[in-house]
Amino acid sequence: MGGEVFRRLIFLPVTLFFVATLVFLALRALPGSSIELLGSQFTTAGLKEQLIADLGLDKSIWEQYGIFLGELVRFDLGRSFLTGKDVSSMVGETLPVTIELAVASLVVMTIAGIGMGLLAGAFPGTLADGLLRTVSVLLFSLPWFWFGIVLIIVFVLWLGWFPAFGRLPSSVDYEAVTNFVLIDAIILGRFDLVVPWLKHVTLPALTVGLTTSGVLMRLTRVGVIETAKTDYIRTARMKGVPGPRVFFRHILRNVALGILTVIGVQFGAMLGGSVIAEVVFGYPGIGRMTVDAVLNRDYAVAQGGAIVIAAFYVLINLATDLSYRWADPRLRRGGR
Amino acid sequence: MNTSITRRQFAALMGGTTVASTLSLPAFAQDGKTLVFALPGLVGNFEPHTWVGFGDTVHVMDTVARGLTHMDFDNPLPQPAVAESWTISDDGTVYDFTIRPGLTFHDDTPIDAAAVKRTFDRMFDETDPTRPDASFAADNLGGANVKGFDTPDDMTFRIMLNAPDAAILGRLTRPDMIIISPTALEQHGKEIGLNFVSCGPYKISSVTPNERAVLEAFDNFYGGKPAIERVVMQVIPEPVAQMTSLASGDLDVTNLIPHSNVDRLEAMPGIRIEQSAAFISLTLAMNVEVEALSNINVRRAVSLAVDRQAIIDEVFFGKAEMPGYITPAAEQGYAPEHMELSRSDTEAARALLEEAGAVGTELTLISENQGFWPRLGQVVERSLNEAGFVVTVEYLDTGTFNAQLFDKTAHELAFVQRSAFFPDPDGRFSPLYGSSTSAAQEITAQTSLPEQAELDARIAAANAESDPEARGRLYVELNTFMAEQMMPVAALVNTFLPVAVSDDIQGVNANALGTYRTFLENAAPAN
Amino acid sequence: MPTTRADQHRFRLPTLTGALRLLPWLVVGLLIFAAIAAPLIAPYDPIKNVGSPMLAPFSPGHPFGTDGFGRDQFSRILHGLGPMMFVSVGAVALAVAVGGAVGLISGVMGGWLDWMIMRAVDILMSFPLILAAILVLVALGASTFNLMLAVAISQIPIFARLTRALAAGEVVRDYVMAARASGFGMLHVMVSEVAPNILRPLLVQATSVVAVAALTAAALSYLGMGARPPEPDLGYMVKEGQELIFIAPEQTILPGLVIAIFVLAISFCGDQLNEREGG
Repeated sequence: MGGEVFRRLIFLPVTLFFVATLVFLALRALPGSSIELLGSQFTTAGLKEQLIADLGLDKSIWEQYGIFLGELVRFDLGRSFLTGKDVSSMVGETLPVTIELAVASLVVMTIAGIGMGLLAGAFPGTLADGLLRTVSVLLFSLPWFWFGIVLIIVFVLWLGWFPAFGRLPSSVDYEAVTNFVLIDAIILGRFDLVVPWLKHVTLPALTVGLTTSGVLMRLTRVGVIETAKTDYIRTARMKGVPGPRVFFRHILRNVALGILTVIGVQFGAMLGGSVIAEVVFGYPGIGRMTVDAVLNRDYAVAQGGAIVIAAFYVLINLATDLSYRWADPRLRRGGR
Repeated sequence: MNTSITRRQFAALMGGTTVASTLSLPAFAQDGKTLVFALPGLVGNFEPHTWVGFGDTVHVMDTVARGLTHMDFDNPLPQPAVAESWTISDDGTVYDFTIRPGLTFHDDTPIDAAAVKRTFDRMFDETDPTRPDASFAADNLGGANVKGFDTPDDMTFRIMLNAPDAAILGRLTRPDMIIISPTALEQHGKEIGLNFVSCGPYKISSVTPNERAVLEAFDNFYGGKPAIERVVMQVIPEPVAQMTSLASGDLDVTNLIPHSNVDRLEAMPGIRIEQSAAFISLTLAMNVEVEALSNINVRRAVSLAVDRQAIIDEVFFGKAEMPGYITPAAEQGYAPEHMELSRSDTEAARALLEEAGAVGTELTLISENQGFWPRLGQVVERSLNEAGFVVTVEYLDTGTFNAQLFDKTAHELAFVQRSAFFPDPDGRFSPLYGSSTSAAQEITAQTSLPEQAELDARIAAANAESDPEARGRLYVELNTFMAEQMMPVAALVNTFLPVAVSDDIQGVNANALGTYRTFLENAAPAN
Repeated sequence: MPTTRADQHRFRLPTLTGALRLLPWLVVGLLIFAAIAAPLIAPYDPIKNVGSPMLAPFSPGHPFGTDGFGRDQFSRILHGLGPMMFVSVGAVALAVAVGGAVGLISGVMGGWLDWMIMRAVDILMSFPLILAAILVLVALGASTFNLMLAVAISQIPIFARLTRALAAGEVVRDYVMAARASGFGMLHVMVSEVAPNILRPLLVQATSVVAVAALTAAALSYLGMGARPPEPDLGYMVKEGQELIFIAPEQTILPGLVIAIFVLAISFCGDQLNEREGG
């Protein structure tokens, strides 16, 4: 097991190298550069050339690639052409936002998915089961961006229960430390941040969490039904162990592994895939930053964003596999 | 709090349900001490000498910084700001600015001529270690036409020019011409944008990139301490969020709402739409080096074919006006007879095309794929095709659009927007149509027209004229000359950014906001 | 006794759930019919202003009202069905073809080639998919066909991995061993022996992925990177309509609802195929 982890950790830089190369080349293949955006009208002869030289875009593509890789191995993601800011600090600002949103969405997904799955699995073949299964497919079928807008119409416009955008109301003064609002609330002792933050994160988390809950619902449902058929549950029932206890002690424990995997996979997918929710709800996350950078040809930012998202994806998958092995006694004992 | 609930009830009614919640969020901005303003984005880098984005470089910059002169958009001429007065040498090449006494920057550094010179030196001296990469602010002051700066005495700052430039006082009102605290510049160097200190009506209290900048009223502002103590500049990039937060009372002032919603928002209790002058002009640039567009009669046909009324109705929902030619009616240099230069007449367009033997001419129009551009593209495509052109529109992302726009081999027709950072007539001409600009060389390629030499001469002569009235007349003639002799662009419409203001706030400079400039120092609680 | 209950079950279920199970197929059929017949059944030209006022409410003449250009919304939605199906089905077909071929080679050949291909797939999977699609669309320009290509490219690694797993499962079976033992080449083994046997499960999976592809395509259109206006595109209609939620919320709700119905029906169909395959 240690060997496997080691092999995959070794492979991480290789993956990142390829992702970095891919995005580097893809960006340069796109028409245009940020020069045109930077100075829309050049009235002095030679100014455009000066800007190009300032940004290092006069060097050959391989020279630029060499510089880029050289910086990358020193964990330097470079500087934004358009904003002059350090890409690392931009990632530091946007990544926590995306992780925060992904975690909140995972909470919604897990509660909704497991809740519906347990309920449906407990009464297989009934009307309730059919209904829940339909609902789970329905939720999956809703386009995120559209579902987000509908939630805004209903819960913001009509009911006024939630704010429509952002992470905190404008009345709150708050100087970010980690940029994770909840962690900052603890560090700074600012517990007044918690409720407003929850209100702001609810709609985006519902949008992403509910639409992704279907897989988990099915998995839980099938798991419950399958486990209920197994010998030891039957034995437990025959021994007279009360229903709910069997349910939670045995069934849930067996389903937990699959659930863990789904959560891990979804977490990885949400980091890159939450762009849409970030756009609809004005959440300043890393996905949005990266897409905007592509559209503005802000090479360093787009590269940095893609590399960081990919790194997290790989690490989360690794962590998922590890926790899977750790949680599954059969795998821990080296298989049975 | 009360207005907030009524607004929300109103919104609920419009939504087709009468459910108005009693659980609505408290409206924070209604205490008269805080003003919430919507930003399209916020990087958190207030470096004045590069372009970072509208949020940083204009909205926040205008609120926290100030330069020698100030354009209030009510007077056509620049007003005193950090400079209380100025004198101009007889030949129009030497400007002496007298610095207002007793002023300080937000960090208490006194403002004197040396402090002002420090900022301008940074702009022009390429060896200055504090100067940011890719800076082109010097260009916006006049570039090579600026001979140098001097400080004849402690409180006098001098700008010396090679040739007279009547627009220089206007140029100094640009957001990139503001004065930076020399102390802060010394301390932070290239990082000044992250630790920005100037002398505007508000000072920076805290900045959360991509989210908000919180600003506090500055006691020692030259115009006196602003009435509203706190300004929160909140990033709200999406129209849906902007409108819902306006309706819920979480937002007080914005210039980001789509034109389509102006009437509806105006009908909402607690919100008013401030009328602003149409400083933003939209044009259809024609690449004269493209074979089909090399004939001026075909270019005239394009201009005649554009259905401007349809643009006003369908793209701007009535919130735009018919153009003259280059200069909008709100600025010096416009004359009512210019309306005839941008007439819409499909039949006349078709007749011109038939005469030129150009019916069925295929043209490609490039447009951005966001904001109102796709709507504009659809109307222009439709109306040109009605007149006998065969137009296809390419809707491009920002990067591709700009790349193709500034490459005369990559486009035929293109949309160009021009707003007025300062309403000086020269700003409409020399940065776009002077032969040294990449706009004239690449967007319209008009530098290849024989009339360009005369245009250059006329632009230079108009800008050198120091008598305002005579200068205005020269720009009137310039519009007519360019339209009749060259027609490198077709004027589409002039418009403004609709400015929505909460009834709790008064005194917002709507004309400035209608063309992106953000002057909030005169805003005050309404009661 | 249990037998009678089971009999009752068998008697009751087919009629009720049977009808319900038919519903998604009917919906998909209806949508396909509407997409093909759109030019005939749409009351108006989807691109031309029909002389009606902008944002007209629902009426018999305009069952879904008119849009911000005075175009008939019902006709636009009908005409938007075809491109949606072309993009989602086309993208999956392309992804199955390319990903399938790569996965087949990987699974059958095994060894270092397999290892290389799978590591390449791992790397592509770690690349944010929507970003990959956006890069493709920016490079190629926005159009319905390019949208299809972009979505296909983002699905290829998924099908490569799936096919490889299926193929690797088949390779160790007796019939493949036999074929190889009788001296058939690798190409023959791949095309004639393995491929036919994994095609069914692959196509069943593909049906479900059509739903995902439709959602991805709609999201890209919503970001303004899909069809070129004024061509009707459901995702873009949601985007165009969203600023009107105060004035005409149906402008954004209706096109999104149609996307959801299509995806829902396709998902149910895919589920049923999956169940039959699995059971």
